[in-house]
Amino acid sequence: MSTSLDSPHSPSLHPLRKPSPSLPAELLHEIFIHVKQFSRRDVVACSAVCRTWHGVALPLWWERLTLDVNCLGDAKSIYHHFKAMDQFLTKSPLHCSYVQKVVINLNILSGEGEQTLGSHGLNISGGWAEERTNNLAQLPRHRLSRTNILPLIISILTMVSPIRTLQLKGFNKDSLGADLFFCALIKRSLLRHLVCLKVIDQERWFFPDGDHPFLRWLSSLRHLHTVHFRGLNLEFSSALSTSRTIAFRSQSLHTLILTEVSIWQTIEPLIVGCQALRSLEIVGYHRLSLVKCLRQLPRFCPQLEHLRLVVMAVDSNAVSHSNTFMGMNNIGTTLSIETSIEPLLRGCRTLRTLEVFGVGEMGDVGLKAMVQYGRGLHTLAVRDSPKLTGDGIEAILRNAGVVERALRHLDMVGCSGLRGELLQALVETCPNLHTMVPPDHLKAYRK
Amino acid sequence: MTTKVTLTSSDNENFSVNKEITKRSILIKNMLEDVGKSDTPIPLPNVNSKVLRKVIEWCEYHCMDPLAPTNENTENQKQNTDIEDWDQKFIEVDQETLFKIILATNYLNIKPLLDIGCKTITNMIKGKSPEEIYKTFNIVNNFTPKEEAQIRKENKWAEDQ
Repeated sequence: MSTSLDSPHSPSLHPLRKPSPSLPAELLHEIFIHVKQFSRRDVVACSAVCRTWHGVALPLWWERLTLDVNCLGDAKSIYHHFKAMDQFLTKSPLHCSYVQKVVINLNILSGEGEQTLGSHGLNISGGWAEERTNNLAQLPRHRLSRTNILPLIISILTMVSPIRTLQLKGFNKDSLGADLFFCALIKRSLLRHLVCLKVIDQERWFFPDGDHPFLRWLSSLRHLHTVHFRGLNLEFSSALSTSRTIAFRSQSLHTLILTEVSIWQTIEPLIVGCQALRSLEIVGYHRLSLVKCLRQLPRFCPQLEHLRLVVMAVDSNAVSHSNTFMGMNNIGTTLSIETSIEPLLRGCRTLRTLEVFGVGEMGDVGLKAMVQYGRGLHTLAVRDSPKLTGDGIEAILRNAGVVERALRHLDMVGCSGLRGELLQALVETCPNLHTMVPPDHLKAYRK
Repeated sequence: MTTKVTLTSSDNENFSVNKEITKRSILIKNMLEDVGKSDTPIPLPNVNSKVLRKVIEWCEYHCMDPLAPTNENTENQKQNTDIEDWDQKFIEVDQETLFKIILATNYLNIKPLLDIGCKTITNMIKGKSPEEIYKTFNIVNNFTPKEEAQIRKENKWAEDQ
């Protein structure tokens, strides 16, 4: 049977002719991107259909390489799986070249599953063995025996490099071998081209000083653009955080996202070395950290354009974790988020987007500061702050006269105390304003 | 008064279409801008009359949609494979026509309709094994046994993905 192109401008004489080979690769690619969003497994199936499909689908599903120990069973099978992958990749430079993102899920390193791996650790690649001997003095032997997967991961990373995105999950910093892992990354200049790093962990990552291999590695990444820490408690020794520790320095970091920030987390050391930061998002319930961070932003991140703060409702778990929790959050006016808004906007003149969600104390003082000093703001979102009324804001807006504001989007969902007059005044001074406000106010705004 | 534009299909059928509606096609929109005022029919040698009629039908139904969706929207569209009811009915055609509509919209550069076509194919692929896929699309599996073996090997690494 022929698979020749079914040219669309000649009316088909063969209604049964196979249509799919006639789709050019660019359209197949388009389709497979849709397929991938639904399920990667389906892309794998597509790659086994015919040569054309294989050629298009293969790079798509090899874009991401997952090294996940969770679904592999016991330690022995994990080791063999990684070993086999290592061997496969050694013979498949083409597949390696497709990889752009590596996801490493290593929950096992904090468990006892690696106990039996010791005997396999001897026949691993030479480079790592050197490093192992170098580090032998610092680490007890039994710890090394648990780290036999890491050399394989390093070997795999070496083959798939350069990659753009790395995701580390369950990679407990204090787990055995983690230090070695980061040391190896630095030593071999692996992942030098990394653009995006995501770390997901529920553990405490405590840094007694700024010299930890993880921090050194972060600082060594010249192209790092986005860092996302989720759930992990990055914590720095108190002596250091009071004296303005710099966790890492980066000239390139553009976006920092911290989600599930716990009450132990210290944020300042993460931002003070990132002068080029443009976008910062913090989601968590540790108010003190948030406020301290806000205070530092004008000084250390003068180029910030997007800021999103989401204060979570206090989680009962968190309270039980810390008796001091209430004390830490009962911070009074000197350290409230509301009063930090003015210095923030005075300092960060480039701020275009300000989103502050769930700050209960946010009242008219904060809003006034936003209106008065946030002339360049394009998007302003203040959600779930019922204390806001808008009193006195109209005067500021009207006094500003003909100055046209940049504001395009206003989102005040959940601010139940808001008065309609404010919106009218805003609409008058800000042409093309899109608003999302409590439903009662819409009528006033739309007349 | 609305201006009309004449489009000529590959089989020389003329379609007189409201100018605004033809601008759904970026190809025609650009052409009209380049040519300026002209009554000359626009030849579309890559689209036959059956397919062109379908495409015009879609453009007429969607003439009120905003022309250029923001990037945000296109991201959202990509994330699900749901198709609106009307579009779903519209795209219920035999496979050959479906492929021709996709090719035509790609040529005419009508992104939203192309997306609907691609999503339709995606829905036909979802959850199927390679065998089911090549039966569905009547594709000939042209792998050599050696290539088959290689594919089995590489697919092993998909298991934990």
